[in-house]
Amino acid sequence: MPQVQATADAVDLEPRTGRSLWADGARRIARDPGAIICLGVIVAYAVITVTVGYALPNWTESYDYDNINKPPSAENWLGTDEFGRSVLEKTLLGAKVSMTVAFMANITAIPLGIILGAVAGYYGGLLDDLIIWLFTTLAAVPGLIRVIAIRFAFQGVVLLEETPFEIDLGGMAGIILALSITGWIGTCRLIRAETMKIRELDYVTAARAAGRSGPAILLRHVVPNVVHLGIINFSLRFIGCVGAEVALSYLGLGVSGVPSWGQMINAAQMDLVVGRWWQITAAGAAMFLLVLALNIFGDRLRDALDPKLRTA
Amino acid sequence: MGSFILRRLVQAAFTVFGVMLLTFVLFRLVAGDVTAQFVNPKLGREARVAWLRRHRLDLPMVVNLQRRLVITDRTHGEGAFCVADAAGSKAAAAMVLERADKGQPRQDPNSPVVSLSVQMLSPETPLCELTGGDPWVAQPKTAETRAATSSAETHPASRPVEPVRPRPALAFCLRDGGRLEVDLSSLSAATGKGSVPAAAATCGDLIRLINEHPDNRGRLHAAISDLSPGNVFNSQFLWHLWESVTFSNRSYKTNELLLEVIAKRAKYSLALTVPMLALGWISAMVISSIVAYYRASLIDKFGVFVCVLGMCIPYLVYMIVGQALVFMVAPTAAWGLHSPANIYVPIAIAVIAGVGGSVRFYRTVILDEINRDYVRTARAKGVPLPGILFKHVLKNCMLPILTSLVVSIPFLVMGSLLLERFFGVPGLGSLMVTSVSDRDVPIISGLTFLTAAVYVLGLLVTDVLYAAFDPRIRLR
Repeated sequence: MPQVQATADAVDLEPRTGRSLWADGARRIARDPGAIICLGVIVAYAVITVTVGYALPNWTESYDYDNINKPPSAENWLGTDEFGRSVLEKTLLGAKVSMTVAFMANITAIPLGIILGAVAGYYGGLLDDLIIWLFTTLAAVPGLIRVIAIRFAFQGVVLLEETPFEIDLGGMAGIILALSITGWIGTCRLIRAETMKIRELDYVTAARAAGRSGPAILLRHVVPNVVHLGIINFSLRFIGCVGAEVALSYLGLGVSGVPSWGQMINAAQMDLVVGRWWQITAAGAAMFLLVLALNIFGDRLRDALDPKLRTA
Repeated sequence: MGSFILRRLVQAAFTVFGVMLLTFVLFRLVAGDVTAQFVNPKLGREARVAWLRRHRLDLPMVVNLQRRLVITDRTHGEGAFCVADAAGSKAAAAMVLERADKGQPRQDPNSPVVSLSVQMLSPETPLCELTGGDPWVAQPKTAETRAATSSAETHPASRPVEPVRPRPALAFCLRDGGRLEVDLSSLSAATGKGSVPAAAATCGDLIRLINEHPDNRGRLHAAISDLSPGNVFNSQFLWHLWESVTFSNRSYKTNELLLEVIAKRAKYSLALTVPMLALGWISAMVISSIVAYYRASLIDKFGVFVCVLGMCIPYLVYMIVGQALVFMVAPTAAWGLHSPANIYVPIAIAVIAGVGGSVRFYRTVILDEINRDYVRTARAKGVPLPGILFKHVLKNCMLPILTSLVVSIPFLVMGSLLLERFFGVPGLGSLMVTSVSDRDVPIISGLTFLTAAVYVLGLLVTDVLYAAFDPRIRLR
């Protein structure tokens, strides 16, 4: 294709002022002190998630019956729980559950949403109808009820039993499963709509005219242009997952045996009446900070990556 | 317009069917067997079978290819045909052999004795599928050991007495007054639990044993029933669809009809959610209008800041702290509905907890609209700002705002799961939560379907109304 080559060369002669979407996004984020602070907070939570298991391996057994339900003091900064264990350490360990659940649920749901959305939007027809049916069906059962229903159904199921890869869906894996099954819907919808717009653009037509196959066009030309929407959704979906973990804990469908923010907040229903405010405050504040950071960072990320969605 | 409505109707029907399929897969296929939670295993197989039959769980999942063993009495007489267990045997109980018209008020003298229905029953089917693993002679553990020990103590020198082992046998009382005892020892194998059907024994062996019994002489005839084509869809799936549509699920725990439960409890949910949604909507509209009116000023920035902070506090924290505060002021108002005014406590908490997110969303919608050309034109013409805001902008913002309201319609019926449970409001939401901990599957399944159906219906109605009032939708 000599002509195409020629135009490409002509473009190269002009001074390079344009940046790729990602470079532009990174520059916008780097210039924004609010976004950097929020990113720092999120990274700090991630570091805690990864390291806290090694730092506090014996927390669950660290009973101290002489110091139960102590308010915050110089020794125990955030007080102690009903077994005399440090609430500060409990809060840090709680971050592990929430972050793991939210991360794992999103890392499966968002790519699934991108793939299904892109396929539905690009191919259309019966495949599109099928995927639309799938997500409208799932979306017809509203939010928390959907998560509860899936979590409840899979409670007694153990996958790959008696192998080294055993997955007990009654535990954390079940929560992750419930949140992933429900989590791809929003992303899929968004990506599908965007793909349908992109499908009609000239460069896709050109690729089709040049004889590229459908999957190749999808992978090389369509998905790279919608993937930023998935990444924006990632940070916003994260918030929903953290909240869902707490609600599930309250309903007795959460992770058992491991300290989590949900349990700490629920325990406060009895604690607050007798004036023990430190557990709910610690868990609530930890969650508040994370959700706030994710909210602001998600907004800034959207502004940086999606010029069309920039808010007024 | 007609074709649009038709298309949306078909879409809604597919979605509702999809939800029924989803609840079926989740609660019947995945959730597994919950019988042990509701029927004491000590009551034996018959109680379990009766319970399964009452909830139609004995039917196959999707396609009914069930057959059963039918034993007919070919004699004529005044007596009643029946089957019983010979002394010490439990074979008839293990196979749940009973008269086909058992429990019916008028009994047909020619009615045969039948076994349980088993999917794809054939002469090659192992007998243990008919007995469900139950022994047909229980291990006479206590009597035997007691006899052994007592004999050892009293007569140390004497030989241990060989206890008389009961044999598995079926005793048929024929209508001509005769009695036929079929010994099943040749089909048995001894295990730790007692005597069970041998692994190699099949239904064909049992049929042959009965038909070729030396005393039978053609009086008793055993066979496997034919498939009835009309029965093919008599399956759990079909009943699930029917029960979903008519809300005729019965609770495993209380055996109450879901429809009656809904009628009894929905009013509490509505009393909670209707004021909650209305107050939440009004307050969010007012605040977001004010914030949008003063956009980019200090009021706007402060308002958005407070909203974002409010959004980030976990919902449960609002509930718990709110309840604790109310408890300090008025202890009786913190839980339950001792006085009807208590309902305002959860309402207030829900409105406060939800207002941040709604204000932020409405503000974005309003600001999107304010930046449009027609607003600029109106301002250029000299229309005063309040006139623009409330006459032009608000009217055009209604579409996304109403859609966001429709999305919350299911919770109108369902009530708020967490709030109801937390504040002791006996609505449908708290029923859902209790059912989850009780594993009361039909109620969870029915309520899930209810919310989905209400949601789909709500979306359908709004879509049609939009299309009727807003030509932009119809033409899209």
